[in-house]
Amino acid sequence: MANNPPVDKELLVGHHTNASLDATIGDIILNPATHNEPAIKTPIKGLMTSPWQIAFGLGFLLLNVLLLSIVMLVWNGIGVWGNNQPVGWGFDIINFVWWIGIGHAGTLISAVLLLLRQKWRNSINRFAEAMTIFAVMCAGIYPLLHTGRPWVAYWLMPYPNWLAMWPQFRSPLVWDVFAVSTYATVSILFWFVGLIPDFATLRDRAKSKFAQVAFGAVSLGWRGSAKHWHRYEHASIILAGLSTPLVLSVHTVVSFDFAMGIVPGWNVTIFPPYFVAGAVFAGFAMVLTFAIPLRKWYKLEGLITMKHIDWMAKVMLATGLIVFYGYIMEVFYAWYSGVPAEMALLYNRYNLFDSPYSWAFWTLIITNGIIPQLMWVPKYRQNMKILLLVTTSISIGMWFERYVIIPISLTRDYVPGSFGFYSPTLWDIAMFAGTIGLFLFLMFLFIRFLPMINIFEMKELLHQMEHDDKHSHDHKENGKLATTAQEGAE
Amino acid sequence: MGKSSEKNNGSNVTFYKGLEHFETPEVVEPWAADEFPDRESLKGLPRRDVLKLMGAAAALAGLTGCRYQPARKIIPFVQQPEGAVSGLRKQFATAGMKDGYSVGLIADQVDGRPVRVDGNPLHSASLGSIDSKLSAEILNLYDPDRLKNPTFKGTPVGWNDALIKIEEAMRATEKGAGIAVLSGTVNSPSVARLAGEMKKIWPQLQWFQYEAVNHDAAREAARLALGGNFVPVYDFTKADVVVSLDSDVLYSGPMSIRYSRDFATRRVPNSSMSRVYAFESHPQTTGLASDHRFRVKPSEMLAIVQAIASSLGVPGAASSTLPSTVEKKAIDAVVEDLRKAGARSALVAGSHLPAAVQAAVIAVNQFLSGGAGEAVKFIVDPQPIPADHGKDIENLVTAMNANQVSVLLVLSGNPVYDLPPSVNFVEALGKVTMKAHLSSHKCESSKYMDYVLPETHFLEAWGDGVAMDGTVTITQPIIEPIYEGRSALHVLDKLIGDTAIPLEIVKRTAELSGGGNWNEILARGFYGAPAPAATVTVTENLLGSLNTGQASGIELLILPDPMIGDGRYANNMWLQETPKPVTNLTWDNALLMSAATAKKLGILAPNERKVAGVIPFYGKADMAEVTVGNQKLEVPVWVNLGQADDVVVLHMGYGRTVAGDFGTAKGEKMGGGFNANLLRPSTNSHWVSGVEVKKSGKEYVLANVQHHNTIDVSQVDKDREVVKMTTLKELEEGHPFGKHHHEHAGYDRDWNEFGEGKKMSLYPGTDFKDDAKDNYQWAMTIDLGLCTGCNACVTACQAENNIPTVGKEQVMKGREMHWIRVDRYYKGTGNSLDKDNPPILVQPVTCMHCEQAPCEPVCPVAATVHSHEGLNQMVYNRCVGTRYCSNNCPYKVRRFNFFHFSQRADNVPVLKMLQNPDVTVRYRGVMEKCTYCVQRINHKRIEAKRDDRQIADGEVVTACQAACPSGAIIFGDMRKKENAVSVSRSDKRNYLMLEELNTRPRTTYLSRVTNPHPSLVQEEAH
Repeated sequence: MANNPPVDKELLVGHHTNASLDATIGDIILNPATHNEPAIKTPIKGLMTSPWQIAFGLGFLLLNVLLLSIVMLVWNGIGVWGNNQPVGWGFDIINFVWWIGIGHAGTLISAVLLLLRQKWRNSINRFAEAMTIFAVMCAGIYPLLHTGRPWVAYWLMPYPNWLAMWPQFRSPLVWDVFAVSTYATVSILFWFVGLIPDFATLRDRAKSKFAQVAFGAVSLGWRGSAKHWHRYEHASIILAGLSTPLVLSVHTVVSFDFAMGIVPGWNVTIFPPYFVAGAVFAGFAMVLTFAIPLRKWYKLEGLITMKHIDWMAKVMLATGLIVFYGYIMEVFYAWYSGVPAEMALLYNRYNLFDSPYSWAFWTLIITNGIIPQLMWVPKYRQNMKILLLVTTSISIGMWFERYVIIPISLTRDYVPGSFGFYSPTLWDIAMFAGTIGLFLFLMFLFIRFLPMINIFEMKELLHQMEHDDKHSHDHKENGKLATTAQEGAE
Repeated sequence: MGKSSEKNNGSNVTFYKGLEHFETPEVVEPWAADEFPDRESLKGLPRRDVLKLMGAAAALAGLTGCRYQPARKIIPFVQQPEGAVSGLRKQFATAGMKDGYSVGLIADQVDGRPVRVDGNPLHSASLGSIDSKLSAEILNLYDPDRLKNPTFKGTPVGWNDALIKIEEAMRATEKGAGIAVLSGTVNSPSVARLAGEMKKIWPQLQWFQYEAVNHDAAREAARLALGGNFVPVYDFTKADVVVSLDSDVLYSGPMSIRYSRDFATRRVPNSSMSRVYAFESHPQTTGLASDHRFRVKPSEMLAIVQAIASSLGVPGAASSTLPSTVEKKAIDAVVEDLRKAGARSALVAGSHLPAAVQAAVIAVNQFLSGGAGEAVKFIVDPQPIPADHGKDIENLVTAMNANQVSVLLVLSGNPVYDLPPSVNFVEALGKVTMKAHLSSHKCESSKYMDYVLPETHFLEAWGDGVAMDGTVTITQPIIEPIYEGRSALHVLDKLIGDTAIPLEIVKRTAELSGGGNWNEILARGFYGAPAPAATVTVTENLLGSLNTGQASGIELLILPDPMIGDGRYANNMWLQETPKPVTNLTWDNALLMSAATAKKLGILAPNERKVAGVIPFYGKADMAEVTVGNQKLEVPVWVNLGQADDVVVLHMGYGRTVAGDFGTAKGEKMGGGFNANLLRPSTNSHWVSGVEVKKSGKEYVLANVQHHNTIDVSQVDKDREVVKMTTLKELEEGHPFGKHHHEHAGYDRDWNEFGEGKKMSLYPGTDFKDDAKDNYQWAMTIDLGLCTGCNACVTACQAENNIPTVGKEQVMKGREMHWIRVDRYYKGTGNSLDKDNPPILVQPVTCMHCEQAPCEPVCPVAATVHSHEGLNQMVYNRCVGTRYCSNNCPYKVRRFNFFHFSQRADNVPVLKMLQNPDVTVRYRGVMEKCTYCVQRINHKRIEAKRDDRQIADGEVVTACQAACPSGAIIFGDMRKKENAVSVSRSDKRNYLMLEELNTRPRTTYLSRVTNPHPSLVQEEAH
């Protein structure tokens, strides 16, 4: 730790001690009453509700929509969706890519920023990682269920069988299977490993028997010994090392689904970096979308400070510019190629009066290209309303990016006689809404039952700040005993 | 069991069943003595528990039966019929009907059931090819909606009872006075013979013929022009110049299949290539195949003929004013060519045109041929009982209304639907005491009849029929009647009290006309020689006297539907879903009109709609209200580029109210169209002028397989030369793809040499090309110069490959399953499109079997792979349905089972019999596509292996190739240079679709070649 540069003081606002940090974060879980705040009046007289109840209720409702739409889909076939000839992929793959993209910020924050020793990650990494996992879960539903016969979708996995049949290793969809499953596994491991010390804190702070036993079980006997910390740091660094290439590889592989195809609008070499940047862009937007209301509702303004928000907005701006550059390059490539099919694709995208889907392209440019430019202005990076506007706009824009790329390119490719149209059905929308529901449901369960901010890393940050202070004043004995049983029992 | 031990001390011998027995006899012995020694304990079990357990067991037993594909039983013959080999096909000659005349067919029978019909190569009306309707007859045979048993006013009765009652009623008449028989065209000599026999018994019996689409006008024209009952027979192999006057001679009419073949022989681009002019009211296949297409209203057709006639100097030709759409120089060019060709030229008139136009055409033809009759000759109408249908039905109805008919026997036909509202047939029927209707289906007429008798399909019964050339075809049954049907022949025979079975009647008819050896007739399928050319002379001063009457306002053409005809095929879902030529519409009819007319009426095409006035999308079609006299009908409009202005076309056969599951019109969602008969002023009218058409304000969705229609022709179709074309002159100058064609960097297509020494592979032996020399290498070529866009290949492929139909709603979503499709393009120049009369191009597209197929590497489970014979194979069992292959297919030929489209074939027992046993029926969620008819290849492979030889060239014929009337499709092994497909591949016109993608397709195209008259060639600015 001695080589660490001094920590920015703005990363922790207000006076904090280890105990106060434990209380601020831990009590959100241990005191159910926190979730009834702030109280919101409902139209029904006398019934008060809270953001948590609303969001969780909405999530639960939509989760049921998801289950219903899955039953409809599997019972009847892909035909309940709007997919057709020539548009083989519609909402299914758009939403898959969209969700995978949203997950990216979590991995970037927890792994890449850890390796780069960015201390500002400490207060946002936990729920960003949770978002990663839940987003991957939402994403994973699609490739499985978008197959015509989902009951044999396991054939995409390489497993020994009496047919001696292996998957087609040349197919990007098989790469997807590897990329996404690895991603999900490493993300869950990393997340869980990071939770262990916090579980121990919660175990020690818990008053109810049930919580003590439950957190005791999952804390895997963590006592906070130096040996534990030593092992932990190693595991954490190794997992971070494993995750870091995944940040780049997962969306690269996802982009191969398109870049390896010969459909005009898909077959673009710039896709891998542009997809990765897009994923980080979308991911940070989603993290901010959640962070801004959560810090307010749970009074975490001191932990997720304006500095964090400012820096996240800056990352968004930077990746957004990369993505915007990608759009420009796509146009350039089409024009530079001189290939009639590519030129027609370009024409179909931009010509608002002649082509049926150009509105989607312009929606994408406005929401994803123009509106995020507001982030150049420091004042706007501090304005929560504008920030929320921008992040929502990015989430919409990133969805439209995939909409423009995936089905709309397919509507018109090479043979004019086979040009078609694409429009989603009610079940397409229901399933999308359903995955949003699943995400909300899991996110608010997580907020209810798990520490949404990394307690011990906040304490470490606090310690380091104190350490920095002491360096400049009087040097005193210090210890990192934040999460021991004794301290927790105070 | 354990071994038994033996304990032998003295006389006491014990046999132990095992060691346990010896050691613990008290435990084992009760069990050894009794199967359930503790059965008493069962008594303690409560009755409810027993029932619960039994219920659970039954439910669980039932659950084990839960799976998606139902178990199928195979029941072997108890006694194997001699010579029968299960699974092998037998071919029988039979015959079907096309526009009132017979066409020789070959039916394939597998294990006692017909599975397919093809053309009879020996028969002059087919030459081995077939059209969509005849291909689809096999589905008519197995139609689950067919009548199953005779009924009397809705109550089932026995055939004998019914016939006895009818006969009694007939015998009760005074010498048959009051008996009327209404049949369709009497085409069968045997029926005609029996009709004669009936007349002997009931001399006053009257026989009437009526079909909604008939040859009355042509017959009238022959009487006008030649003074007799003659029909023209064309020989297009000898026609240097063909002039079509709104005729669809290559698509409709009894001989169109043969004519297409003959016509195609002269469309090969060489010095003897014919020149074709088409004067058309609306684009038809003949116009698509022509070199020059002019838009002419039906009312102006006579003026065109007169102009040609007067320039040629035909005596009596009246001077005429040309319509504005035809320039004088066009007529001059036609006349110049006709003069040059003389007798080797043919004018053909549409059978829907007024008799005067057709008569004028006869006059010009006769003038050109000078009576020599090379390209056009006349024969005496070979129909056994020629009749004027229009007059017949009017006489019948008059008689019925005058209470002169007491017994009416309707032998097929559907008069209640077919007849226009002005003829109140239902009311007339009410005045008849005994009405019997022999019909294959329950129809609009059924409910007004006393007896409704099921009619056999032609594949179920003996019969015969006359082909247009005068030969008599034999209709051989391929299967016992599936239901209780009987043929008209059978019914008539019973009514006259004869006991002969239909086979004997047909045989007797053949004997009477000296047909020759019966077995030879059966093998060949027909007997008799083609009718000799009749000597005819044209009536004097004919042309001067002809007049089609005054035409005003909008002209309406009411024509038989290209697919479902006059409505008799309405319940045939294959035909409902086969796109109609040119318009590509399915499941509905629509009012066709030109772009200018639509604009004038303020009608928007589906592709002209805009969201918020800005964003274009494909929407509903505007509906128009058509008024003829006091009849009004609201129909959706389809803007049909290339149609004459102020002409609207509506096809017949739709708007059925009683026609089975698929034929009955069920409104916008399911389709079924609108009844055009309601607009017919009289029984025979096809052409009505002075029609009022106005926008009705309502909208209707039309299911079109080619959504984009004219959207963005300017930009999207620019520079995309999927269809390449040239003219004969340019071809001779060395431009196989036209002068303006930009040559792309080609690739070395000639890998017939198999690139030895050239190819480098990291894994030798893993590519199919490595041992290409040792395997057949299948390839196909499609000659776009010959294709007329008739869609016969689509239906034939559907029949061969068990392709399901999906219904209107799914077609609208673009989920039709056809493995081969015919794309239709309007050719524009640069950014402009002549919306009035654009060149219309057609291109059949099927799986290209790319050597470097983009679909193969993207399939994650290797469900689509390449065979060593160059086939791109689809492994249905392995497919999980990611649809990635379809996305990556640049030709978009893959079809996905979005739902369980084959469910009907699974659930309806009779439809199971329809399925081709050599082709897998695909389940929901799998991808499918053209296989190059791999089952046919394998059949021939087995035969060749058995004979220890190679498959010969031309031995494997794909279904589309077999059907194609113009022979545009060639298939074979491309290894050998001398094979037809190799010759075609090395033609300089041969090109690869989307060659620049380097997919190396095995299906290649020959560019379309036209032979325009030099004076009419417009220099295209490119």
